[in-house]
Amino acid sequence: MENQQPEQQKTQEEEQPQLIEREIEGVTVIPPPFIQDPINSDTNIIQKQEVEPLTETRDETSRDLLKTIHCRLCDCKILTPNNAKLVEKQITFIHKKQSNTAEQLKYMWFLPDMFSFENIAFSKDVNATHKYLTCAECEAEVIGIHYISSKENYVAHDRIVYK
Amino acid sequence: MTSPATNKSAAYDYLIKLLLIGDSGVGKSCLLLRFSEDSFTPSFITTIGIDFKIRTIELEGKRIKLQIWDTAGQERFRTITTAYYRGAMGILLVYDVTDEKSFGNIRNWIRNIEQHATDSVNKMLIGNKCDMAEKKVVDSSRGKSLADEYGIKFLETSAKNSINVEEAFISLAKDIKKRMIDTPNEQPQVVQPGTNLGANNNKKKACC
Repeated sequence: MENQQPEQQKTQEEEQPQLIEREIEGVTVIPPPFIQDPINSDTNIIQKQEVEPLTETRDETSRDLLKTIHCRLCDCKILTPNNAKLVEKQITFIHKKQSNTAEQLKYMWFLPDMFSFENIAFSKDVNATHKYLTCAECEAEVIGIHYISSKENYVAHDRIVYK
Repeated sequence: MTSPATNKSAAYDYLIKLLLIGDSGVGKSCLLLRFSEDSFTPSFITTIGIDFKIRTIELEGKRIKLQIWDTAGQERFRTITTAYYRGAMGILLVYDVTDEKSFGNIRNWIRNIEQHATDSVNKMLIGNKCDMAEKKVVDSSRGKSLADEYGIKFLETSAKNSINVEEAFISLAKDIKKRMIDTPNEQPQVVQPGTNLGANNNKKKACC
């Protein structure tokens, strides 16, 4: 991830436990496979020109979400009003179909607590630093990200719809 | 929401952690999906895999957050250990009604649960893919008999046609809520909104 702070990256590497197969109470424990982020130096990253979310989607002072956020593909309810805050943060997300293209997006709905989601799916750990978020019902595309160490969650304005 | 001062808005009343376990290929992951055409187009997400989902349901006037873990990729009985089961309040054991072997392995999964999970964990037996009537080899009565033998509930589901999928989660959540909150015999604990009813819900990996 381009957005990864070098300092944080180092911390993560230092904290990583040694993942080896071993016996616990007579049961063989197999370490979870390391999953590499598909966004890497070979990925074609597009800086998308985004328009700021309409003023009706948020409270102008607190920037709290005022609308209900749904999956743009299957309409599953993702977030209800007052559970997220609009922030600007550059995050890169892979395109829907597997390809070597990704989009850099900047308008994000931020949630400090993952249980503020109405319905959401979390991917397995990627690069041991983050999880991607996708729709709980159709899993069709990446719509956000969860940072494992800070527990912060971001949903991309560009990849959802409001009602 | 009426508690802006607190970190947690009162967006839910209880948090319940559930596990989906069973042989690979029985359709556990599909139980977490509503069927749609898009879900069968290859998606980048499928190459990484889902860790867990958060679902919100309404149950007897309460908003329940379900955190549902799928054990995909850890489906040999012996690879799921105490750490993974820790904090689980309910377990859905899933077999495929068109796959005799997956039904036979339910006993192995139950043995694994008895070895590693909390004694009081609520369990439910799920026979998935019940819409494929012509390929069915495990009939309902056998599923019911096995569930009765272990004293647990039984449901047949079809994720593809959304038959009984939501009912399975609601039924299990209701039993958990009853056991952990509603039973007057035990010490009635005062449960604050947003309280995690499990001992530890932060364990996400089988080992670390």
